[in-house]
Amino acid sequence: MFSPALVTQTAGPRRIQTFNAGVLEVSPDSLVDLVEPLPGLGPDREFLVYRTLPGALSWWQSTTRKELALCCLEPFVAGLDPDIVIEQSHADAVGASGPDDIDVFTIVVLEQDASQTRTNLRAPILVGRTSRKAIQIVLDDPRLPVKGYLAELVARAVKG
Amino acid sequence: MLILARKVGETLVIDGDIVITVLESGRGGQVRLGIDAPRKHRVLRGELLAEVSAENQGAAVLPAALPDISGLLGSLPRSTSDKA
Repeated sequence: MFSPALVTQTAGPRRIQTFNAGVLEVSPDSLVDLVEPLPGLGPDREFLVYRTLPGALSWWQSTTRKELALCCLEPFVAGLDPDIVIEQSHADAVGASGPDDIDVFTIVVLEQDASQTRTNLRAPILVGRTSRKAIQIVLDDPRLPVKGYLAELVARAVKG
Repeated sequence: MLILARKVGETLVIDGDIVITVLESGRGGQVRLGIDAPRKHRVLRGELLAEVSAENQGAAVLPAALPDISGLLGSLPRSTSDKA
């Protein structure tokens, strides 16, 4: 299981400006390179993955634009266990040896009203654990919601 | 935009390795297409890609006060598997 680095101010050679934690010095293994940009978000391809939140949540900070940051969730680590199926072709896309060499993130839309906070299970971001390459894929399974409200997903997972 | 008229059974070839075949047309304006393409080409419904783009853009707009969702997620039983 890939764990986004708990970045410290003295961790490494790159200095990245973040939207909420000042300038962080980070090691290369805290960075991911997108094979292609995230749809709708411009050309940014390199992101720093770090945590200021507990558990399965992390921040994805563009290394070139301080104002572009996303909250992401690792749904399997959180225990949501969605029906996201990773295929070998996905692994190939991020230079991973196979599905077991991939970590899965989903983008979270944070709303001030927590009940409206949601995550996109239909379009997870896959990260090769060793390659550090990433891609946002769009799955063909209509059971996976683009707008998966966290409260509902959690209630369903708790219920089993 | 290139506009071409095609009949059922006819094809379009793009870049030599993408073949689009018109399978059926006419029912309520719906057209069924068959697409043969190498795996390196991702084929998506346009409206789904637009929906994903809109959600990505929504995620990039962070609220002034972040909601406390860690407590919500904390109520989950931890998964023992990394993947489905």
